[in-house]
Amino acid sequence: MRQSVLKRFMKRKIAVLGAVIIVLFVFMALVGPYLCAYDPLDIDVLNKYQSSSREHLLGTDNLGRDTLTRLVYGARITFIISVTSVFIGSLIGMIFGVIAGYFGGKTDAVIMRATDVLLAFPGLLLAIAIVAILGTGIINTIIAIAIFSIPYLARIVRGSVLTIRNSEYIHAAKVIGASHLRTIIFHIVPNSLSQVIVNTTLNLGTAILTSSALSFLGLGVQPPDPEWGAMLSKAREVMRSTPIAALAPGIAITLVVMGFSLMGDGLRDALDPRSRND
Amino acid sequence: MKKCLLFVLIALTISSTAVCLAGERLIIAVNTDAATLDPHVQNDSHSEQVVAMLYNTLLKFEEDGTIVPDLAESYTVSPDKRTWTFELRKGVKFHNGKEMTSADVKGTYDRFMRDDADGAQLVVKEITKMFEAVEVIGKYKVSVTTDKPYGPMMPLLCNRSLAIMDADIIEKHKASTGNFPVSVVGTGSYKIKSWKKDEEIVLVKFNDYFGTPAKSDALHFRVIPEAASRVIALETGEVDFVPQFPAEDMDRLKKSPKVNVIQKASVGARLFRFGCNDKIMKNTKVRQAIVHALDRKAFVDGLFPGMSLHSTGPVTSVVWGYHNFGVIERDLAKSKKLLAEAGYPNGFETKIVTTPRYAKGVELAETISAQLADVGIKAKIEVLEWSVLLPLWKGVTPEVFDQPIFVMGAGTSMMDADGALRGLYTTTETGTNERNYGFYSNKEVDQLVMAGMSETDPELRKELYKKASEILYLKDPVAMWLFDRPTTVAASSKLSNIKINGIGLVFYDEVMKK
Repeated sequence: MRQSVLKRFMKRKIAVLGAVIIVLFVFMALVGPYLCAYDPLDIDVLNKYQSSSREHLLGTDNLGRDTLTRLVYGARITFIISVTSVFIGSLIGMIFGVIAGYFGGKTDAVIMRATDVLLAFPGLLLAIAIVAILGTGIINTIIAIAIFSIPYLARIVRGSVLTIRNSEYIHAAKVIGASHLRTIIFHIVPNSLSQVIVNTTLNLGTAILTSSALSFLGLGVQPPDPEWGAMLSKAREVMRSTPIAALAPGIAITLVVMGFSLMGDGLRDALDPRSRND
Repeated sequence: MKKCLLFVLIALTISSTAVCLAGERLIIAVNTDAATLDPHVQNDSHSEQVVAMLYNTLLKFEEDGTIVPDLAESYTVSPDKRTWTFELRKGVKFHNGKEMTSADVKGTYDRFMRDDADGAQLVVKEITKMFEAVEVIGKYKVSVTTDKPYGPMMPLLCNRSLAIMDADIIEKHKASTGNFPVSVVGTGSYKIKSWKKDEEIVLVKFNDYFGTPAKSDALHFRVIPEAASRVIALETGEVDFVPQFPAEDMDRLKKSPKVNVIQKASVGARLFRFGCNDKIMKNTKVRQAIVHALDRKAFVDGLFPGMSLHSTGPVTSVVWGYHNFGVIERDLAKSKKLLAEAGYPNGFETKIVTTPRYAKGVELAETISAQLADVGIKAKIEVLEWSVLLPLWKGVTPEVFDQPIFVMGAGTSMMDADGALRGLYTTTETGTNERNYGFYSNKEVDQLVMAGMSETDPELRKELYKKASEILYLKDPVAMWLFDRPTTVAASSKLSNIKINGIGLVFYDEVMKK
C-alpha cells in the first residue's frame, strides 16, 4: 500500500518538483547557516543596499547585512513558524473534527458553529486580530496561525469521519465492545489521516504566506531577526534602485509556497482512493 | 449655428479658466494628514505647517530667525519686566470678515490660562504656565503679565501654539475647534476651503489679508503616505512640493533637472532617550557608557547621508542658547571601563523601544542594538505603532513605564533653549512622566533651566544653558543624540523663492510658480 502511494506520487513530475524544492529549502535551513560567511545581524551601514557582487551574492539590505545570509537564516524561522503552527493547528482541528463527526448531535452543532464563526473572518484578518490581542513576536505569530488553521481542518476531518462512522467495520468494532476512545484512535483516525496529511501540506503554504504577510506589516517576527516577509517589506522602498533586495525574499516565498502547493496536490491525488486506478 | 458657436465659446472660456487656475495652485505631497488645525492643540510639524498658513501670532520669525511684529504693531515692557503691552495692528480681518481686536487676543489666551480649557487637550498649556493675566487696555491694546520675568518671551510669542484665534469661534466650538473647516478661522494669508480627512486639505488665498498677499491662489496639502509614490508624483509633475522624502532618493533627485533639493538647518534632532526609572538606566555611568559606545558615522553617513548633521549638543545650532560640545566619538575602551565601574563588566540585557512613524525608526534601533553588542549590552527591539506609543509618553507612572531606551524626535517651535529643555528634561512634579517621558531628574539641571527662564540678560542666560547642556549631553546624559536633522525638501524646478525658517516651516505663501 505504502509502496503504491509513493509510486503514484512519483509518477506526477510536477508534484516531485514541488517536493524537490521543499527538500532543497529544508536542507538550506538546516545546513546553510554553517556555510555562511557572514552573521545575519552584522551591521555595516556604510555598505547598505549593495547590488549583487562577489562578496555579497545577493547584495546587502537596508543596514548593509548580507541578504543571502539573512535569506538562509530566514528559512529557519519561516519553517519553524509554519511547521509548528500548522502542526498545532492541525492537531487541535483534528481533535475537534473527530469529536464533532463521531458524536454528532449537539456536540457537532456547537463545534461546527464555533468553526463557522472563525471561518467567517478572512484568514489574514483573523491572524492580525489575534496578534493585536497577544502582541508581536515569533511565539504569538505561531499561535495566531495555528488558531487560524483550526477551523479548516476541523471541517474537513468531520466530513471524512461522518462517512467512516457509518461503515461496517466501525459497527463491527462497536458490536465487539470497543470503547469510544479505542474506536476513534484505532479505526477512525487512521482512516481519515490521508485527508489530514494532504490538507496539512497545503496549509503549510498558506501559513508561510500568512507569517510573511504579518511580518511584512510589522506584526510578525520582530527586527533584527531575519524573516522573509519583513525583508521584503523593507526592500520594497528601494525596488527601483536595488531590485535584488526585494526579489530575493520574494522569490524565496513564492518558491516555497509553490513547492508545498504542488506537493500537496500530488499527495492528494496519490492518496485519493478514487484516483487510485489511473 | 449660433447656438453651436455659443457652446464653443463657453467651452473655451471654461477650459481657459481651468488652465489658469491649475497654473496658480501649489500641490504639496505630505505623508500624513494634519491631526488638528487648532493652534493650541497641534503638536506635530505638519499640523503646525498648515496652522502657520492660516493663523498669525503677535510676533513672528523671519526666515533667518529674527523676530519681527506680526499682529502686534509695537510693544513695551514694564520696568519689572513682567508686563508686556502690545499695540495691535488695526484693520486686521479674520477669514469670516470680523475685525481682530484685543478681545480676541484675550479670548485666545484666556482659553489656555483657564483650568478646564474647554475640555480640549491644549499642548500650549505646558509652555505658558508663567502667564498670569491678559488685560484689554483699549480696542487695539492688550497686555500680558507673567508671574516672574520670562527671558524668552519674544520667541514664545512667535510660537504658532500661541496664534490668535477668533474668540467667538472658540466660544462656539470649544473642544472641537479646529476639527472641521467652519471652526478654522484665522487671520492668515490663506483660508481653509475644504478638508477631506486623510486625503487633502485645500486652502485658498484670503483676499483681505493684512500683509503681503499670497503668491499662489491655492495650496493643496495632499496625503500620499508612501514615500516612493510622493517622489514619483514630484518627478512626473503631479505635485509641486515634497517636504519629506527618503535619503535613498537624494542622489537621484539632486541629479534630476525637474527637481530642486533645498536644505536648511533646523531645530530638529533625532535622539534615543533613557528611561531613568529603569533600574539599570538610572545609573549615570551606564548612560555615559552607552553614549560613548555609539559610532555616529553609521547614522550620519550610513542611514541619512546628505540629510543629517552630527549633533554637537542637546540643542541644534539654530536654537538660541546653543553651545558646541563637539561630536561624541566612539570610545569602546572608555565605554567598557564605565560599564565595569557601574558594576556591569559583562554588559546586561535591555530593551529599545521604537516606532516606524519616525523615518527609519526601526533601522536606527537595529543599528544601536548592534553597536551596543560590542560592549556586551544585549538590547532587544520592541516596535510599537504610534497610536500605542503616544499614550505611554504622557501621564504614566514610573512603575508602568517600561522603556529603558526609546526613540524621540526633539525640536522647539520657539527656537530657544528654554523651549528645548524645560519640561522635557526637568523633573516633573506630578509623579507621572508628562513631557519628561523618561523620568530624568537632575537637581542642577532643574535649577539652571529655571534660572534661565527668568533671567533677562542674554549673556547670563547663555551661560546658564551652557552649564545645563553640558550635564544633559555629557555629565549625566539624558539621551544619546544621534544626529541633527536639517529640513530637507524637494520642490519642482518650476518653483522659486522657497524660504524655510529654522523651525522647518516653509513660507508657502511666498513661493512663486512659473
